[in-house]
Amino acid sequence: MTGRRARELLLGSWQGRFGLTVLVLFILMAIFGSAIAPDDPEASTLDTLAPPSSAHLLGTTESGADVLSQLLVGARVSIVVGFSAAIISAVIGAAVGLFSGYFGGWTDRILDGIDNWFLVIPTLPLMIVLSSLLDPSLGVLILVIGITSWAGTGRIVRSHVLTLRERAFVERVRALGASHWYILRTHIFPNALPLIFANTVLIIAVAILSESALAFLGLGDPTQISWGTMLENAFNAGAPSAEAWWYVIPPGLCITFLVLSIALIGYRFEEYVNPRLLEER
Amino acid sequence: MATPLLQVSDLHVSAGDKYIVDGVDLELQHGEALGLAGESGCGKTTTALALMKLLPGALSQTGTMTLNLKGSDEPINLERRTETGMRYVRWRHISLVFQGAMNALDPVQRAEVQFDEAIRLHSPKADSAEVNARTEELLSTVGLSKNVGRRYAHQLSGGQRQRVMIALALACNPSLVIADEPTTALDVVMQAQVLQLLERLRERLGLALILITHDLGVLAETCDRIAVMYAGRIVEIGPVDTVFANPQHPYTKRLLETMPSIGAKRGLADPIPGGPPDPGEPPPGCRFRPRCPYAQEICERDDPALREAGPAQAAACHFAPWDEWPEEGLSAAWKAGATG
Amino acid sequence: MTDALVAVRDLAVTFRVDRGTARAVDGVSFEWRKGEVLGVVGESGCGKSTLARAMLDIVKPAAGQILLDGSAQNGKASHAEISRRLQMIFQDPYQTLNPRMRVRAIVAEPLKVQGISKSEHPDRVRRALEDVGLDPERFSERYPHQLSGGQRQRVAIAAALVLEPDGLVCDEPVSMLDVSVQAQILRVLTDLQKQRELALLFITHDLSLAWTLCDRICVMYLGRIVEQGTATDVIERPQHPYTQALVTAVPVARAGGGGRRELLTGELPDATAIPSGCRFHPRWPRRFEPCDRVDPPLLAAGAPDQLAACLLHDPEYSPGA
Repeated sequence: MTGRRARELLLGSWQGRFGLTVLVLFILMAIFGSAIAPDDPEASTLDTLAPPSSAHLLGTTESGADVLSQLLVGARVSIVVGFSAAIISAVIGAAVGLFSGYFGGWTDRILDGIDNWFLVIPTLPLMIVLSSLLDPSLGVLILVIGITSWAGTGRIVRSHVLTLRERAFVERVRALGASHWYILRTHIFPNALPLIFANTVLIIAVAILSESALAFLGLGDPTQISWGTMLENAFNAGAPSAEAWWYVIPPGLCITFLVLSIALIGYRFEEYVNPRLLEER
Repeated sequence: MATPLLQVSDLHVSAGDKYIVDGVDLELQHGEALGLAGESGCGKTTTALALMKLLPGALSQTGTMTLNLKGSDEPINLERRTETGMRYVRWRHISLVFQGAMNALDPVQRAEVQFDEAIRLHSPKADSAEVNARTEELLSTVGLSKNVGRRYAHQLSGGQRQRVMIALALACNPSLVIADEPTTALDVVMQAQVLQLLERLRERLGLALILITHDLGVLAETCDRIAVMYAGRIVEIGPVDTVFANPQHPYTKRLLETMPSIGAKRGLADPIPGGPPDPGEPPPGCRFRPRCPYAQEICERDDPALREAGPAQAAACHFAPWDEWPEEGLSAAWKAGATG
Repeated sequence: MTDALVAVRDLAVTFRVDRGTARAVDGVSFEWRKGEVLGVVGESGCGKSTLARAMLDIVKPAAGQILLDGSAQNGKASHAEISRRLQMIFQDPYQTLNPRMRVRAIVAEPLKVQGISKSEHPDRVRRALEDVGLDPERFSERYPHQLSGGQRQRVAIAAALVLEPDGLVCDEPVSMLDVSVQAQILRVLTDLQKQRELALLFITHDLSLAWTLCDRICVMYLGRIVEQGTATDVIERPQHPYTQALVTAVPVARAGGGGRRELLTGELPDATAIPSGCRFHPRWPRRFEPCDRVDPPLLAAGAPDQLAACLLHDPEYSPGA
């Protein structure tokens, strides 16, 4: 895909522009969050669960810490987990899909069987089990989410590779005497890439929500501030019944908007993957 | 001359500012077979769909289409009909054999269910005995046994599916059948059988037929008249034998020359260079000019209308009627040969 | 044998399918001579595409031999040598090019795979594009979706010819193109054939095409060659009933159309259930007694070089016809 086409896809419609703007904003938040946070996010004050004021733009938490600072700092964890887990998921899913689709036979039966297994196992319980067996840390969290979300990608890539394998241009190159690795590298993988990418963008959304869910359930790293831990603490502190909306809504909105922006970008890329472009008749 | 069955006047179909059909006039007599020939993009399928008002909403259609049924004094103005009004006309008076019949049959229904649907369009109160009898009758008309009714589309061969499509098209005894590339996916022997079938049906039922195809050979064998389309227009029209023996438009002539044909001499003639024009930006003057070996200055200035080029034959060329085709004076652009 | 680029002997190719074993190619022998334009004609399902793929070593034969002229000892060539000397172009121009590769990469790819030094690529690619009538300046950097069907097929031909093979197998190369574009592509192929003395193997269901272009024609039915000879002999004086039916079934774009039809009954049988005796007999209304028992080999029939697999030409069985 050329740079021009990418720009056209992203900037050519409101979904692309909106998605890109919000995403860039959040990435900046992730990078510079701690630098621009007005207060130390962990600092306790006596001013607990205070509504927004000039001192604390988004109010305070149950320990008197500044909600806005927590929000800015917490962006980093959510985004890092989201992207990293999604990349792990993409790599495993793509590899499984490519090999099982291309080679067929026993390779396919084994890999596809594993894929099916991971597909039917309920994801959240599996994450919970794995997380509770291992020492909680950010790395483990990322790994667990990555390992439990690749199966969908694997399945989609496999079907696409099955059709690619039969296309005339692959047959042509086989007739030239090219090796399997060459064909996979030069012909199959690049043509499966848009599909992998589009699916992975959606996995990012899933990963961020999973981190939040796991954090919410208390299985994340308790020392890290993330939007998920903010939500967990807020509920534990009885924020909803205390009507401390400034504590619950901002992190929730951030998660929603981040997921939304990624979904919109993914939606634009799906249009690229649409065979209408690839197989014009 | 009796009132024609179908009169089409000034038919235009466009998508935004791109033309697809750009001014088509047609007349079809009862029981006549008219062939619509041309390459992809010339507008022939769109013309057929326009006649049935089956075009997707994004396309806009203008022009008049009048149906004069036998035994009826009231002409039916198709262009004025609403969707509900058209449903009365479709299948009862005009039916369509789709291109790619393989995919036009519902894959999850047995054939007889689709016959049921079609038959009840005409006779909604028919009981199942009548429907079965009619289905069997239709199937035997196309040379299929009544067992075929119980089968699903994937259990039938290509030839059988095509014949089922034809039988379905006849379910309500229409006056006109439009067949869009009815034999394209079939092998040559099956194609000959289907064409023979269409011929027999025409004789027996007095059907009028509009046959759409790019295969000029098929048209030569089945049709009384032929209309050649190019870039959304009819560029030549006339009796089949006359047009083939004595084409009056350079496009027709070159097509006939460059089409491999058993019985013609062996070896390839010079191909027509280039490709059809972009519907959004047709060339000035005659649309065929960039590919025409006989183009002159006037061809770039004026867009020729259909003009008489023989008894019952017309061609949209400034120089029609052609008594003979010049060897010299072939246009430079053509000699340079654009790449298509 | 010195005349033959490829000699095929008793070739058989089978596929396992749900219904049984499909004998797609069931005992085929012929020669494809150097510089010759040979047509392999038949309906879909007759095995002609499978035959081509076996010749290019894309599909492994179950039995028989494919001998490439001048190769080692018993004539069995390595896959690399076959790719260097024989190339193929395919039917669907919209599927035959990798949509993510530019034209110059597509045409250079055979050179890359065969290990030809990179310094030679630009020149050879440019020449190949010129030979097929595509201006390298305008087309090298384009992607397939920016090309028309005819242009894509030209790129496929350029990629096939960049290795300068001795033979080009064309599997229905124009059947998916518009009529006027067909003529252009056929002209490209025949011009190249004459310039380079290339051998062409034309696989097609279109008899008119075979008639126009080919020196010799083989007619295939259900995995076998049923008739063989020069184009003129086979089309003007067909000796096998199947060929006769095919020839008379072709609609002719001429005033008055074609002549009398020799129609066949029934449908093409499945390759898993080949009829006994002569495999064609169930479809021929005028079959006679031994047709369902005896499987005729290719016999001399008609012109000196003409062969037909029909008992009509076997003095032992023929009913005096």
